[in-house]
Order: sequence, then structure tokens, then C-alpha cells
Amino acid sequence: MAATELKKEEVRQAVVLADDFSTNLHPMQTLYPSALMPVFHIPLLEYLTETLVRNDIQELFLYCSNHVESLRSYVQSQNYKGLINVHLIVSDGCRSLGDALRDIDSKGIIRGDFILIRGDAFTNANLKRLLDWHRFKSKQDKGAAMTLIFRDLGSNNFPVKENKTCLIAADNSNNKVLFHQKLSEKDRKVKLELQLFLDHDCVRIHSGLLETHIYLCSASVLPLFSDNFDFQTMEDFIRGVLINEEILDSRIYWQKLDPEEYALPVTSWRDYNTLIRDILQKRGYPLTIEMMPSCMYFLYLRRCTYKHNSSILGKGCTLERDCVVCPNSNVGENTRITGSVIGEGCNLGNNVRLENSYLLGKVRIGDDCIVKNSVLFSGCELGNSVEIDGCILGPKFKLKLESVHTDSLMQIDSNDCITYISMSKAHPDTDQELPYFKYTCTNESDDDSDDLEDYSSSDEESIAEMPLTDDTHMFFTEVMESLMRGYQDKVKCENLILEINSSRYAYNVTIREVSYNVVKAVLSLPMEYLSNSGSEISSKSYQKTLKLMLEYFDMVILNYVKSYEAQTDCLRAIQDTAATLDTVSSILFVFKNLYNCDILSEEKILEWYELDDEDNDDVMQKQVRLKMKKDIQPLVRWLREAEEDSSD
Amino acid sequence: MVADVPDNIHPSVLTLIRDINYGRINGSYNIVVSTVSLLKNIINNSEWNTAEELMKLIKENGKVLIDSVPIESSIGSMVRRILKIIREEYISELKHRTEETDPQESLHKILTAGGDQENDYSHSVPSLKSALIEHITEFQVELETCSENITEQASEHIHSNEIIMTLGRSRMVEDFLKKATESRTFEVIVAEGAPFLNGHEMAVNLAKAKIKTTLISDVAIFAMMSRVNKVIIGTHTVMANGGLRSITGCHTVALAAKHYSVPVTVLLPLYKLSPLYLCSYEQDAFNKHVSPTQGVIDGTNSLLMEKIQAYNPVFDYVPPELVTLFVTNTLVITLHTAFNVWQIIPTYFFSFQWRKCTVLHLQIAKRVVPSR
Repeated sequence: MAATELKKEEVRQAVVLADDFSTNLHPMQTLYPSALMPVFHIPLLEYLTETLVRNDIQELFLYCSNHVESLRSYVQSQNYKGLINVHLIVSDGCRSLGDALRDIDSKGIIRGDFILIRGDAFTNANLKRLLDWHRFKSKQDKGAAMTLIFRDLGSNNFPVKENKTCLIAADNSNNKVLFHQKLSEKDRKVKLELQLFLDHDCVRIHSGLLETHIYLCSASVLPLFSDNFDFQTMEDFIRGVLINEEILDSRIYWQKLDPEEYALPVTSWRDYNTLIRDILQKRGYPLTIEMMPSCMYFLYLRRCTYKHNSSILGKGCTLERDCVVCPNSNVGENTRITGSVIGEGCNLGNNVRLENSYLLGKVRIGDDCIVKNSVLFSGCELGNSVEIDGCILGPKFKLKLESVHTDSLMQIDSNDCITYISMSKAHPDTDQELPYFKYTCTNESDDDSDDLEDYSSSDEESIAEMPLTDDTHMFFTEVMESLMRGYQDKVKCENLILEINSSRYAYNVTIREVSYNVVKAVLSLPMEYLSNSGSEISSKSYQKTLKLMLEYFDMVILNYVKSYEAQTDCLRAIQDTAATLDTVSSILFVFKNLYNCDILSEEKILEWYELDDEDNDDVMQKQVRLKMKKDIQPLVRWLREAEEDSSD
Repeated sequence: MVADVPDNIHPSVLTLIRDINYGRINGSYNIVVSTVSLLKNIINNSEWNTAEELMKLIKENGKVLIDSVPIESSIGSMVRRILKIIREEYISELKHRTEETDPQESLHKILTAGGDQENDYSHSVPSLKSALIEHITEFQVELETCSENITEQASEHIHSNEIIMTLGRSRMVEDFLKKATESRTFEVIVAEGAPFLNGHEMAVNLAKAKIKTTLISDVAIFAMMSRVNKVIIGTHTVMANGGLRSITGCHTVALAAKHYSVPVTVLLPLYKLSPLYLCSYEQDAFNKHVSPTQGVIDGTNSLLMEKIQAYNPVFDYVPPELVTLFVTNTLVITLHTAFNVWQIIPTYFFSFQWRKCTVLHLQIAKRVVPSR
């Protein structure tokens, strides 16, 4: 009876792309394919197959293009008998999702509707329900190509998952996707065409949706990819289908996961961090550690901590919260562990502090080490008393005794050389900051003041330290931007004045503040300009650029520094800039140029020089003033002489 | 997928583990029934010569079963029960045989052996297999009638115009109340049993059976308790000291009942007895924690999820002193003998050689539970 029913029903097939072609988990992707990324001590794929088995998926096609050997040996080591048929599809030189799907199409192994999952996805969703829904839909609409699966996060303001929430507009009556856009930090506005609302009676706009990297596809998806060879990523596909709906005769639908269900694609270290937290807090139930069949003998302790039976904890060792101690690990005495995963076969010394760190297996850590916000790949060794914070250590990396490292990516490259890259430039392709989980973690910690310091120092922007009110600060940055752009694009000074005036009204800044800020902006502009263009910052180059800029912005400054009071503000600005910039040596140069441009009158300079502000208690200010006075002495002398000459 | 298991494990064991883990077999009763039929199947179809070999086989398979599904302690109970049946049958079969062959030697043996402990189960008894199958079939019938035997006692425990409180949904309790309504009229208050809210279904089912039913939220348990005459709940497991492992909220109900001196009756089919003690809440698989999004907090509020830690345990431990009465399929254990759960355990699970352990059990029980 059951057998005949099975025959009638199509075979449930799933395609898992072992490589995701867009992950940001450097250097993870150089070591493992996304699907074999270790989550605790088992690969991500194991959670995925578990979900597939639970949902009675009969066939799994594992598409691999990199790290083929490791995938093959992994699949062979697993006992899938009677659960699911796993087939490996090996293809070298596949560089994008589109290529992969075209390749699968040419092999002609997919017979009907299938589930497409990218290897970095983690989910406990009821795929059966979703697949049935898709089948039902494609029965109604022969052109239904794909059903996108989203998880509702409930909010767009999600610092951790930036660049990943989507906005979609869909026909409310049949869940047809009409518009799809990935939201990034910068997108404050989204434009929707009016036609969209005119054509459909009931359009609903959803935001705060997280892509799950699970797609329910009809058999027509693969030919679509083959016909349109410019589809490289899933976004290309969605956009292409939505735009050419009529021509391709395909439609995309969408479904939301139940609030109880969980899904998260791991595309950055931050996601990795979130995933591990969520699994520990049982969000992925039944994909929790003790429920995973290959994870027997885990003991669940309080505050979401797990310990394997075969691991040994030393005396006085505390597992504070959200930790896992994997099999065959030893933890020394008085060691404190919080929010960390200790992989298989690790050895931790005594008095170690481990916070928000991941040891991916066979790591040795000496006594008295402090490891925070770090990832240590397998085979790393730390000597005694090493302190690292926010570091990623490549496989088999060894750190010597008593060294301190922060925010860097350290690994041994192919030539056995040690590469040491600062985290802010660690991304291999773009040289941009490697999105890392450090700041998201520290936000949870108690001492917020530390974080603030962290931020400002890493920003390396002198402006951040100015004790200005928000509006004036905003105004200042705006002015900086306008001037910078003006200088680079050679905008007319009249237009710049107009622009500054409009920002002035926008932020409601007094005229005195305006003159102060404009002068300050002009003075700090060369620094910004030089650092942007990447050239060396020295007093010489500063002077050179400043001179050019003063000539260029002459009109702007004159426009704002007209009155006697404005000159006071101007001097104040110079003084403040001198305090913050380290090129105080060029102060004489600044004064001379401003005098030459008729911005500062000689009376004003002399008055400022002779003025003793004893009411100012700030020692720093006084020192700066003294130094400035010393610097401009030649100018003052010359001015005085000139005055005497004229009076004679 | 099952972690590395010894090769000699029967494939149907792995199938059963999967079925339980993937939720295809639900509820203690179904699990127990399928475990017993699985073990019977192993006895029937495997190759073994002596009782010793058979017991080794059952132990090996049983150990994998128990380890793979640690939360379902009734599996362990069943394995032990089968082992007991093997021992008993072996001894009685051996007696039969010896009686047949040489009664004198048998008498001699009784005099000299001084007990059954010296049975090493190494004799090959050809009739053992059929005797075992027969005995296990009997046991299966006992399991089948188990719930019937309990529900039949309903009219003895529920009286006219009483108000009964229960929590969540237990099939046993539902049948019990339905049976009672055939002869009595009474009222039932059902606490909904957050966060799983099985109580809703329970209330509907009872109302359909024409029982006057009130559904209350869990916060109202204490307020309503004053007018309740009797609390009747089901349980997942009864620990060896008489403590319950039952769904969350049971401890609340039991404490409220204690405060108002309302008797707490627990319906207990004997397969739910476990020979384990609760030593610590961190004990291996004492409790099951499920996703907090299943009823505790909203899954779509992931901003909140980042900041808090939420727990969703499935079971409560109810200490034995809060339970007044156990209604089982064979006997009724009252408050004064609640601690005597340990007394049934040996007779239920262990053969003669284990009787020795009763003394040990007694000592442990006394240590765990202060004597009253």
C-alpha cells in the first residue's frame, strides 16, 4: 500500500552546492568548502543532511567544485544507508552559482521539482511543507519557476546581518514576487514603480526578511540558467526573471518560514558567531548538539553549556555560558570559558581565559593565556601568557611565549612564510575590513566605555574626539564633504557657498559656528585629502596642499570671515586644529597665508598674540597656545616692524 | 544517521532509533510497544544457543537503544524487563528439564547451591526460545491492557460532583476521565499547560465527551486550586524514589495542591517506572530543552533573541512527597508507600539475583528522601 503511494509520488530531490561562491569567511573558504565548515566538531553539511532526512528527501546531489577530495572522503565516511542517497557531482573550475546550475542542467540528473540549497545554509525548516506548497503552486501556474524562502526577522535595524535583509513586494493573493531588493546599510530609500501597484490589486511590501539560501525550484529553473548565460548569482536570476517575466514565461513565488522555524546562511564571521549562539540556545531545535545522532554523550549543563563525556575539566574550571567542550579535550585548572567552542582534541592550560572564541580542533593553549574574540584553526599552538584579541589564526600557527596580538589575521602561507595582516585590511580580494564578530560581541559585554574608546581609536578620525554637539558635528562633516568634493571636482566657489549655507540651515548652526567650522574644515582638509589619495603625510606635503586649497577656497573663507568676531572664530579654529593635528609646525605657514589672503588682519593677529587667557585652565590648551605663539613669533616681529615703519 | 555503533547491532534497532528521533513514533506507549516487539524479533530471528549469549545480545542492542534515546527511560525499562523474563524462563526451563532428567540431582542442587545466584545461564535449553516468545507475548498483552486496567479504576477514584484539575494533555488521563463520566457526573478544570498548550486539545476532547470542562491559563492554577477536590495528572516517567518527570507546570500544580491539601493522583502504567534516581538536574538527559520559539518568545523578534537567553524545558521534576497516590495497572500505591516504588522496581525488572540489591535500594532511597 505504502509502496504504491511512493511510486506515484515523485522522488524528492535536493541539490546542495557545497561551495558558496560568495562567502566572506576568510580564511575558512581556503581550507574547507562552505558545506564542511566545522560547526562545533561536525561539519555544517551534517546538520543539513539531518534536516533533509527528517523531511524524507530521498536523493541528495552534492555539487562540489573545490576541495573535492575532502568532500569525497567525508561522504564516504558517513553512513547514509537507508536514509538518503547521496551523489557527488564533481566539477572543476566552476566559479559561480550560475555555472554550477548550468553544469547540473547539462548532466540531466534532475527530474522534477527540487530543493536547491547553498552549502552555507543552516536550517531546521519543514522542507516537506514548503516543497508541497511549491508543487501545489506549480500545478496552478505552469510557469512557476522558483519559490524563495525567507525568514522574518521582524526588523530591518539589524546590525549583525547587514547587507542581508531583503525587501520584497509581492502579490498578496498568490505570493508572487513582483520586486526584490537586497537592502544594504546605505539604502534609505527604495524606489518601486507605480506600474507595479496599478497592475495588481493587492500588493504587499515585506521588509526585514532574511534570505535563507534555500530555493524550491521547478525543473524549468535549470534550463533558464542555461539559456541566460549571464545569470551568475541568484540575484541575477531573480532580477532577470522579474524583468523579463513575459519573455521567459516564468514567475517567482515566495514563502515565509514559520516563526518556530530557524534558518541562517553563514556568510561572514558574524553569522558564524550568531549561528553558534543560536544553536546553543536551542533555536535550531531539533538540530541541537545532544540531538545530533553523531553527538552522543554530550552533557547539557546550565546556561547553555555542553561538555562531552570524554573531555576533562580541571579543578576550579568554570564554563560560564554558551560553551561547548568537544570530545577528548582537556581544560586546565582555574580556566574560565565563556561563549566559546573548544573543538575536538584541544588542550588548554591552567588559568586560561577564553571569551567568544572558537578553537576548531587540536589547538594547544599554554598557561595564563587570554584569548578573546578569536578564531584558532586546527593545530594552532599558543605558548604561555599569550594575549590575543580579535585575531584569526590560520592552521598550525604557533605563537611564542608572552606575546600580545590584536585585530589581525595570521597564517602560514604556501611558502611557509608567516603572513600577518591587520584585520582592517584582511579581506583578500578587496582589501577591505574583514567583517568580524568582535564588535557585535563586545556590545553585549558590561563595560560599554571600553567599546567607545575602541571605536574612536579605530576610526582614526580626529573629528570624533571633538566635544561638539551633534548638530554642529554633523554640520562640520557635511562641510568637509562639500569642500572635499568641491576641490576634487573643481566646483565653483559660489556653489560651495550655497551648499554650506543650506547645510547651515539644515543643522541650525549660528553664523559664528559657521565661520569657525569652515576654517577648521579647510585646515583639516589637506590631511583628509592626503590620506585619501594615499600619499605620505608630512608637514611639507601638508603645506603644499594647504596652499593650493587656500587659494582655491579663498572666496569661501572670505565670505564667512568678514567681521572682526569672525576673525576671532577663525583664530579659535586654527588653535583647535593645531591642537588636534600633529603638523603644528606649519602653523606659521597657516598664519602667513591667511594674512596674505586678507583673511586675518594684522591687528587681530597681534591682539591674539598679546592676549593671555589665564581663565583657561586647560593645560593642554595653554601648551598649544604657547607653542603656537612661539611658532608665529617671526610673523609677529615682522608685523610689528611693518607697523612701526608705517607709523614713522 | 547514527553514530558509530558496533557492527553486530541489529538493523531494526537503528530503524527504531531513527523512527523515535524523527518523531515517527510518538508517546511512551508506542515506543514501549515497538521496543518490545523489536526485542522479541531479535530473540526470534537471531542465532543464539544459550541464555547467556542471548542476554549478551539483548544487552548490546539495548545499550545502543538506551544511549541513542536517553530521554525515553521506558526503553531501558523494557530492555531490563526482557532480560528478567529471559532469566526467569531460563531457570524455570532448566528446572523442568532437570526435574525430568534427574530429580535427585535437582534436590541435591537445591540443597547445595543455596540460591539462584550461581546460575550462569550457560546451559543450552532448546525449549527456551518458545517459552520466551510465549512469555513475551503475554507481556505484550499486559502492555496492551495496561491502560484499560487503569481506566477501569476510574469510578473508584472519582466521585460524584467532584471538581478535578488536570494539566496539559495526557491520553491516559483523558481516557480515565471519559471512563469515569460513564458512571459519575463531575467537573474538570484543565490548565492549558504553557508553552505547549496541549490543554486546549484536552479541553476540547473532554467537552466532546460531555464532561463539564473549564480551561484555565497556568497562572490561574493556584487561584482555582482551592475549589478543586482532586488533581489527576499523567507523567512521563516515575523515578525510583517516586519523583515524577512530567511536563512543565506539574510542579506548580503539585505545590498548589499541597498548599490546599488537595490529593494528587498520578496515573502510572508500570512501564513508566524507571530504576533511575535524580541526583542532579544536570544529570544526563534528565530534561529536554526545545527551542524557545516554540511558545516562549516570538521567533520573528530576532532582535530580542540576540540579547536574551531563553529556556524552554519540557519536563518538571516533582518530588515524591508532593504525590499522594499512584494508580497503576496492577496496584494502587498510596502516599505512605510512595517511597516503596523502589520495592516494585526489583520485582518488576530484576530477577532473583537482583533481589539482593533491594537492601541497597532501600538504603539509597532513605538517603535521597528524608524519612517521614
